[in-house]
Amino acid sequence: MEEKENKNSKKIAYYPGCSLKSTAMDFNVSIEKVLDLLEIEYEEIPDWNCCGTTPASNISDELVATLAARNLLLAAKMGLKDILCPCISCYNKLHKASYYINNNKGELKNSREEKKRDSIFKALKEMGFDTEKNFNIKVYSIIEFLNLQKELIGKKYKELESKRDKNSRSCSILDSLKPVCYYGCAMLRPEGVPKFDDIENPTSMEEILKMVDIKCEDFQFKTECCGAILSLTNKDEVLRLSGEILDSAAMESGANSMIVFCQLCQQNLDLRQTQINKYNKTHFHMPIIFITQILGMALGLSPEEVMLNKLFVSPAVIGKKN
Amino acid sequence: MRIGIFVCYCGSNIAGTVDVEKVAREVLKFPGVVFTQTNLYTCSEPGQEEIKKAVKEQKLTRVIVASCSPRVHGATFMRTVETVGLNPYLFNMANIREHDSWIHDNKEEATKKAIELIRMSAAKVYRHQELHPKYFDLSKNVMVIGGGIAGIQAALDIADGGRKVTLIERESSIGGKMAQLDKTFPTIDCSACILSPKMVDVGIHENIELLTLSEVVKVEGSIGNFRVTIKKKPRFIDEKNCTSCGECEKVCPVACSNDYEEGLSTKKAISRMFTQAVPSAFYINRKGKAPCKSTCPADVSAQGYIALIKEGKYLEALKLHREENPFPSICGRVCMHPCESSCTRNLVDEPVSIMNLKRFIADYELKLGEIPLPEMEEKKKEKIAILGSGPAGLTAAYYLAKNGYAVKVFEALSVTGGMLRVGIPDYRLPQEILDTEIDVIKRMGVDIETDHPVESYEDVLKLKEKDNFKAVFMATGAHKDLALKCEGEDLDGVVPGVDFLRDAALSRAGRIEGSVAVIGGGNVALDSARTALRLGASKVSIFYRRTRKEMPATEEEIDDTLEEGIEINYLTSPVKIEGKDGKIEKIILIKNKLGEPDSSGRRRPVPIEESEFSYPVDKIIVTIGQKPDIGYLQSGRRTCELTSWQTVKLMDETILSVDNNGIFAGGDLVLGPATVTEAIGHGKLAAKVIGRMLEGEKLEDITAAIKKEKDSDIGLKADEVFTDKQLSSFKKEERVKEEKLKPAERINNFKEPILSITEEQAKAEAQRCLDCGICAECHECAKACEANCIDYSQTEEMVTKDVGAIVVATGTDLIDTDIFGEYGAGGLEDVITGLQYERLMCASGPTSGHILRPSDNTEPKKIVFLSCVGSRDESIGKPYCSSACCMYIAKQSILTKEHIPDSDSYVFYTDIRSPGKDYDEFISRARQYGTRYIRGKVAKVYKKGKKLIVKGADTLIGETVEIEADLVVMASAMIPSEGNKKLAEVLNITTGPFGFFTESHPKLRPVETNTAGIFLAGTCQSPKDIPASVSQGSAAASKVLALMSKDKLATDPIVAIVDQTRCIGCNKCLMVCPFNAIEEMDLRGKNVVQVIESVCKGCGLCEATCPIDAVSLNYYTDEMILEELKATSL
Repeated sequence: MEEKENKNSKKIAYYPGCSLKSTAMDFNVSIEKVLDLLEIEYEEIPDWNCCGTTPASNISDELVATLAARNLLLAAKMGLKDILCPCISCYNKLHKASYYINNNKGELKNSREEKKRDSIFKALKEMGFDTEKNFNIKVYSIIEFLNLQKELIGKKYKELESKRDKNSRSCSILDSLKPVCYYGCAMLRPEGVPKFDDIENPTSMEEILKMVDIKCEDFQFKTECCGAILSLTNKDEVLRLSGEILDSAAMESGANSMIVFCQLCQQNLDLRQTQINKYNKTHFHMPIIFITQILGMALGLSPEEVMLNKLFVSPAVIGKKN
Repeated sequence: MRIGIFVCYCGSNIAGTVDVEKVAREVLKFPGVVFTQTNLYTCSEPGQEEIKKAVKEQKLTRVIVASCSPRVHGATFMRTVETVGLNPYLFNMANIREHDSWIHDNKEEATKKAIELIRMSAAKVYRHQELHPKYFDLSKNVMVIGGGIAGIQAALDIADGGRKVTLIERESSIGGKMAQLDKTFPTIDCSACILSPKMVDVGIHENIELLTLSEVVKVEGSIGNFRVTIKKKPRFIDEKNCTSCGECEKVCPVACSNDYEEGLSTKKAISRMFTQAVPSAFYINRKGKAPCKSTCPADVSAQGYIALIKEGKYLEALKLHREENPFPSICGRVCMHPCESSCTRNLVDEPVSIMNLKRFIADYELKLGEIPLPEMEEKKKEKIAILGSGPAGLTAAYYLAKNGYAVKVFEALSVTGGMLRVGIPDYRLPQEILDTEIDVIKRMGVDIETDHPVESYEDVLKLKEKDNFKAVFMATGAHKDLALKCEGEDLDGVVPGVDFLRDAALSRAGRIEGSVAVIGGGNVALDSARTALRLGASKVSIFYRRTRKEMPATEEEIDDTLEEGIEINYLTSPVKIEGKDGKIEKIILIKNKLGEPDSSGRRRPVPIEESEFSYPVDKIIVTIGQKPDIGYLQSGRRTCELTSWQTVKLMDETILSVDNNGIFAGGDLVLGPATVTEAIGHGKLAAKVIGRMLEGEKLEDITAAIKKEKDSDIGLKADEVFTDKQLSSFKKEERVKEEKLKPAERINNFKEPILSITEEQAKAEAQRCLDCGICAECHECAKACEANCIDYSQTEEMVTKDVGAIVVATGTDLIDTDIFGEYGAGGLEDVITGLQYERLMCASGPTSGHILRPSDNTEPKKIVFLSCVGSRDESIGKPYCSSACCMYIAKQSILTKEHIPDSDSYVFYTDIRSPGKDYDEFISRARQYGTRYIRGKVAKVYKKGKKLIVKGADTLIGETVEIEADLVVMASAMIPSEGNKKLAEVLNITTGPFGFFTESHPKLRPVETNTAGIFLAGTCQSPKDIPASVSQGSAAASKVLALMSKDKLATDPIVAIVDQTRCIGCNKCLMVCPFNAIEEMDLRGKNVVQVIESVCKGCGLCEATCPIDAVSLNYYTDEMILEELKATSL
């Protein structure tokens, strides 16, 4: 493959990962639409493969890192160095792999890591990648990325607002929204690596949403685990943990909706909400909405365009109530 | 040279590895050695006697002891030889224990090494010379920094020992953290009961001088002779005469956060820290000039009158207003209110509606009848002339008349008020309002003569020269319109705005028919447009060359204008005016776009080519700016100097003087078209300067005094007043909306469309004020104080003290728990700190000793204590133990049970640390009281309904624990006091890795620092409890008294000496000296250095640094060391 020199340094490589192509396609669609609205140039990494999470990690650490690293080198081949990776699980793997890719031989912490780097590069070389050059690849989670585009989002929103009648938004749901932001447990992991927010009380999502005039309620369970990882092994614990999150959002924060960015949390809290209610003997109706769906609507898209109808717990009710 | 060498067995310590007898035999062969002896223990009394005997009998001139390290017994043997008349510096020690026998096991080799070590020692001692210490006087006064319990104890002990003590305290009272505590462990006696007697003793002790609100900023000199500079902040109260009656506190309208109560309650801006405060004098908490006051051109204390409105003291509020500005009614209507733009409330929601508040009090007074006259001073005979009865002239007249002067105002027009009357339409400022406020000035005895224009500058000067006026203040304003400078301007129907408004005000304008175009975007443009509308114009359009953003008119005014159906066309400029038969028909305009910013910072309009269009019109009002009418100043023999802006040129802008002979000028005449308040500011300044001049003060002195006044006043900036955290804690409250007539009700008459707000609205609006400056300068306390103690003129002062020793007892702060989001700190009201809990338990606290949780004032039944919040936490860089927490948690749990018998206490602990006397028994007592100790950490505290859910781990049983609590108390870590680092630099003492001051030796010199003469006491050295702090206070005192018992201090002669004939003055030594012991001096015109022997510690850094070997160190000279080295290589 011929390597492209990409002159437009703002262009980003997009790595959706498997779930955004299946169960979380609403997330994928809304991300792509928001990027279009913000006029951010992006390109899906061609021929991307599994990030190496769950299945591969049962086999070997090196396999995980190699799978993830292949995606990084594909991006490098496109002449891009910034990768947007919305799935937090993929992000974790890709971020870890970038550590091995970006550091040269002899720059790692210990010999174990050096050995791992060698085996990754050996495999990549066999696949035909040029492993000799210096890489400088940065992997962004969706929140870190949007956080950097905050001013742009605000600008786009203001442009739109100035053209619009003061008292109506394009979408009535936004006006009756009383949301909390739920970050889940993984945004700032591995701990100490992504440092763009407070680990106990992150506020990036609130700040992003402030740019489009959406005010969020305080929330005490922003970073608690929803239990998704135990889905198969300990369902009761999942239902208990998720129940606590919904309970605090509804009862303490008085929220009528929850804004998320992790498709695993989203799926867990949305799809299982009936089970959660049944297990905890509660009656919550809490739509779990992706931040990009909200941003899309605030920037002028219709609910259908951001696939709001894909949610199991329908947000339509909020719009009607008020 | 007769050297004697004494080789020590040190029991078996040396003799076990070294053949001592062989050594003694061998060393006798060295040059100059005449005597050797071995001893079992040389340091014992018999051993020392042997040395003395040998010195005498053998007439020894040098002595060497080969034994242990000189650190152990060097001083001992020096004293021994001194008693028999040998200079102690002729003694040397060879270390054959630490350097030899203890670290080797081969006897033969070790013996050889011992011989070599002694050979070196003998070679060095050969070169030794007698050294003699110098003696110097010392100051017997002492300074103690910090008035907490450690500092109090030290100060009292030293004072009881007969020495004068200066005690420095940063706060307004001494007492420190202990004064905030309820009871103390392990005896549960009341903290205040045991502390206050000591505080009182400090207050009345004849040997103690107490300086509160003070900080040490500079320390010079060294042990025995420190010179300390202290910054003393003003208390604004005469400390000596204040009787602490508390009358001032009752009338103070401002409440602020109470730090002593840890923010659990508020206190007044004038207050005492607590009832037992020492000194007992009150204190005014004044942060600085609030932004509203500092941006007001008339210097009106908006925060002050707003504070009084809060209390319903409307007339007092007006009185305060008139101290700076005599026209509240007028300014309540037409001021451009820069105070509101600068209001700190802007950062929370919207600014306080200051203008509406001002108008409310003014209208309130008007309803009561005639405005009362201010207190006037006795009549003076001097006459003063004022030209112009506009806001500047009238203000000057008001304050001069108040001051007792005879004032005469000459007005060119037939009416008084200047622009206030003829420039501002009636609907904005009704004539009767203007009349009532001018009437006050007339009643004060000011003579205003209308229809009396001054024709020339000659006439102005004559007023002084002939008519016996002592001063003239020219304030004739800016009444001339700038010309449009375009074709057709002279057509009939084109009128200047000021002329138009003047005619309207004097009822000479008549009705207007047809369509009117107004050119311009300032207040005059809007006033003209709205006046034209009211006079019957069928259509009114404003043409402005830039956009709304750049318009100089106020926002409210623009909104009102638009509401009335007047069109504003932005980005349009006139090109020419076309007419027929001398009468206008239409105006040709061109469209603009915005270009680069001009000198005013606004973007310059740039015409768009071929965008011209015409607009049919019957009348055009031109309002593109005004300038002073200066014709009269330019005619005649003598003229007045002008600026390029056609305004009067001042000789000195600070005092508004035109010349040195009593002619002054102000207002628009000097400023060009400006605001009412700027004119008032000028009028007031002129009155002040003229008054002082007539009292005999020189003009240059007045300038200097006014400049100094301005500099000393700290103007607060809105974004600096509060921290982001404080700002986010303020609740948003809606700004008052004044009632307004509907457009239809107002466009056909000149009635005032804006109505006064109601009393209720005013009180609510006043509550929105954030009290930025804290003290609002409302002067109510000064009125209430019978002892006349309030003194706003106090300023920061610098005090210097000469002392011989300094005790540092600056205590600790507590960590800001807001960083512990996991505990809900900062977010959950019922998660509090241990110190807050002390206040909740204390009988004199905010809840009078009833434990009530902050969120809902109910009694908590389940209380969870978290230990080690910040302490022993590597993750935040504080691995140390805060030492007192385990014990005070136990105390608090015991007291909780006594306060609320049906309560349960839980303690999450890391380890229970209770090693003091009666301490562990105390912990057992807590357990007996039912306190449940859980070993482990808490992971999260969150709110669920009214409860706090505490999730943690019990690491002893390896399970998670969840407690539904009512209150969570955090034992927050002690951290070094704010300012420790700076103080360490000032004192030249060191801080450890966590910022606490470092003691000289952790075990043997716990209260000394490495800088001689500076001692430590209490928690500034490390976290500790009260008993330990008091012990250290006393320990430091005893060290100080021991020092003070000497009449003179001796220097250690082992210091560096500079050969000044060789010194080249490169100052490298000066830079490396860690003790500031080297100073520059002049040696017959040559720059050299010298060592201050009393400060030098003999470390030798300078000696090693000196590039030309001009520095040498006594007792360790280069020659001696070279001799040693040479000896080994033999």
